[in-house]
Amino acid sequence: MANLRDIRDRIASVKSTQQITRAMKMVAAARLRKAQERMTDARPYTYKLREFVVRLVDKTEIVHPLTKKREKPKHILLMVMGSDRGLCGGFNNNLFRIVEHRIQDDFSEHRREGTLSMICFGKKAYDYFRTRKYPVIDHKIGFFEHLEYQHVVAVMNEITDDFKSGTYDEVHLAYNEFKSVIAQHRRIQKILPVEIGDEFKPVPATKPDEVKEAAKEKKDLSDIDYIYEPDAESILDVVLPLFVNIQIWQASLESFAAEQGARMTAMDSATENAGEIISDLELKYNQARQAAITTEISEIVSGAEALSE
Amino acid sequence: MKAHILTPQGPIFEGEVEGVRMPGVEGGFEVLKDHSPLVSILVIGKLVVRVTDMPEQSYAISGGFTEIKENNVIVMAEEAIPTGQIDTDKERARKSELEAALKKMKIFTDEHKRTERELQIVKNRLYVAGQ
Repeated sequence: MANLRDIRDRIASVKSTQQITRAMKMVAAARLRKAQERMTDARPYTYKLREFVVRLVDKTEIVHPLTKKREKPKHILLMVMGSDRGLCGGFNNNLFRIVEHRIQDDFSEHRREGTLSMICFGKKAYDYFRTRKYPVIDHKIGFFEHLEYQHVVAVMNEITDDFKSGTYDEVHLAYNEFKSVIAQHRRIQKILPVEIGDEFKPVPATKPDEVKEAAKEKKDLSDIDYIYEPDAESILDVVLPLFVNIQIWQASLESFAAEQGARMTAMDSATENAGEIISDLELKYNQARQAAITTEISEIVSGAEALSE
Repeated sequence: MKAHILTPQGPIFEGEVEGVRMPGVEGGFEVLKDHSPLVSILVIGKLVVRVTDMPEQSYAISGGFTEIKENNVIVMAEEAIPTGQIDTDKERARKSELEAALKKMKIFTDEHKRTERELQIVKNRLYVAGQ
């Protein structure tokens, strides 16, 4: 049986660990609330921009340099959003594993030929992919510590220019989408060329009634005869880069909120585990104490008996 | 007539207005009640919102676009800073920084273009702040 003092020391150490995990959980909760607020703030702009792009691309059917698909894309850019800090459960590793699978499935040839490039957001992403010898060309450490829209703009304007000039043929983004405090959704999304994915469009109608209804709605929307100043094409020129930027911004906010949620859950279960260990140790401590007392008493009793004889 | 100024950081203004003056790509214009449906590109410049019986409120915007329909004006800008929130000392410092950087850069490159644009934005903030 372990020595009493050892057990006492272990209890003290587990208790202080528990204090730390509990504090980290509280901090994560506060940051999560703030991150969720920022997500909500960004929404009106994002929704309006999305609606606008869908309408403009659908209606005008213009093929813009940013929406045009390239035949046999050669140069691929993959952006990965991790976190700057650890202790957030499987938040990073689960995503990175999916990214590795995706590279193996779709871009292994690109990787061999050196036409795959990666940009890592957050220290954890950078550390993971650099040590595994992936072609990381750039990294943004501390990105999530100072999450500013201007930083996103600075990064993305450069990437959009590179896409236009042909340095990249496709740009993808991997990140954790915020589902709820306890759940993240890992996504790899194509950013460039801009694709108006089905998730942006209203749900397609299947029943004949609904089809008719949908056709009517569509007509209502296009009924408004806008004046375009100067013309629809130039407007796309302005709006598409904004659309690219907002997607990255939304993803950064989602990822940051998801990180806080993951950390909160991880620290919550760590606090609980510590509690279990403490009650286990306390039981052991009491047992050891009792055993020691029993031994002492029996020694005294047998000593006294020896004397009386 | 209602106006909304939306940015990625959140809505900056929402409410009933008399008119909105904006820096359109083909010159400044003011939107009043019953304007016909319009979509226009906005350039770097000054956005002015007029509310009845209130002093005009100006914002420095870095471009974007606007959509006007059925007495609803929506301004979409990546940045819209109210006059009172412009830090002129900071902007002046940034301005000289950018000017110095531009001198060292090769012209006609993407980087040069981007820096030039940022300089325009900074200059506009100073202009809107009245400096």
